[in-house]
Amino acid sequence: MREITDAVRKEIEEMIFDYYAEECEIERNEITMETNPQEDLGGDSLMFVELVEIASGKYDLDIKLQSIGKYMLKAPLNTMADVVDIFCKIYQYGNDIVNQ
Amino acid sequence: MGNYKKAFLFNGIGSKMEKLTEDMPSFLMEKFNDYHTDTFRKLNLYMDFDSCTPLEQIINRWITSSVCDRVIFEYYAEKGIKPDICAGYSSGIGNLCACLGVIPFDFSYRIFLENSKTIIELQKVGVSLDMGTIIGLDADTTQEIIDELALQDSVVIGSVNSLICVMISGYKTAVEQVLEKALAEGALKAIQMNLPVAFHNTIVAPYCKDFIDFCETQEFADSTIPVVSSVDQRIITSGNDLRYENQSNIIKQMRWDLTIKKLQDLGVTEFYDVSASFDVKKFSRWNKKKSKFFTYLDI
Repeated sequence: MREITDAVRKEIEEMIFDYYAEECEIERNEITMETNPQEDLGGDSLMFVELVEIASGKYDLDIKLQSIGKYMLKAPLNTMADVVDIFCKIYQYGNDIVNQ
Repeated sequence: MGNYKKAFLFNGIGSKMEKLTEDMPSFLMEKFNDYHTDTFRKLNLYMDFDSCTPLEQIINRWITSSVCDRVIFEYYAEKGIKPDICAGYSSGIGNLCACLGVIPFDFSYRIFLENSKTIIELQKVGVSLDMGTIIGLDADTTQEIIDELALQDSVVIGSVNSLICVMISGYKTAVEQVLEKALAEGALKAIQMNLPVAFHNTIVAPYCKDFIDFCETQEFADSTIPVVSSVDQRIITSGNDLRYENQSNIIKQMRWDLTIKKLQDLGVTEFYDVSASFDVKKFSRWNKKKSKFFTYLDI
């Protein structure tokens, strides 16, 4: 397991919020942790996949989408807080996220 | 390699009606309304979506989507953006042919009406078909699921859209089983299209004779702009080949992933989504590092 610091957690949060703001053409400060990425921002799973690719490049992650998909069966993404949380877990556990 | 820089990508069926004109600015809406009203009047179709039968609603949605594509294509042209090469996803080949002047627009809309006869034939014999999209699994994993469920004779991969997105097509119950299993195997999303037809599958071949014959009634002109086949990625310009592409693509598997790759290999660096729903950009833009994808809102 990879340790995650508060600084990295904050950086991940920034990356995710910036991405959704740009892709969904919405002001960054209009997005909160309670925002629903699908219903409120019009986000979709293809955008989520792209975000995974960005994170993989940025943090040198080796992650299979299938592992994330299996984890999401237990933890669906209803809010931006859920999105941040799943990316922190991807950072920490990689493909082992499926066992969390 | 030819001098190809800009590729126009035409969408097929499946866009949500409410998404089509949601973002359209008023000056384009005006044009859309004119074309839409004129087209529906000529084809004797109901403008009031809610008054339509389920089959009429499907046709209404297909033709409305196609009218949007025409408006967007013309908008790109007005802005001085013209394609060096094109590709059409599924029935997008019909819209593409109309926009490139290969066939009249009215004929391209009638293609959808003829396609509806395929659905009527299927309903007559009680064959229940459907299609679905899986996001987050590749084609090999999806095929493994189909094999594990022993559904090879009932459902096929209708299109490999990208490394992480495939479309399946076949008998409704088989499509449902594959989508359910895909989710359990870690797909991020598995979307049932709820269409009473299974394009890109030979299952529909016996029921689309009217459509095939209809395409023979129209002359297809040669295109000055080359088109990459979404089925076998060959480059087409002759009218006869474009007609065949229209006829055959409804029963053949598409390799949209290879179509995008072919365009990139030919030198394309700018892709323009000629859809109002931006769906083509969404499922095509893998390998984004090498290319830029635009919608009409980016212009």
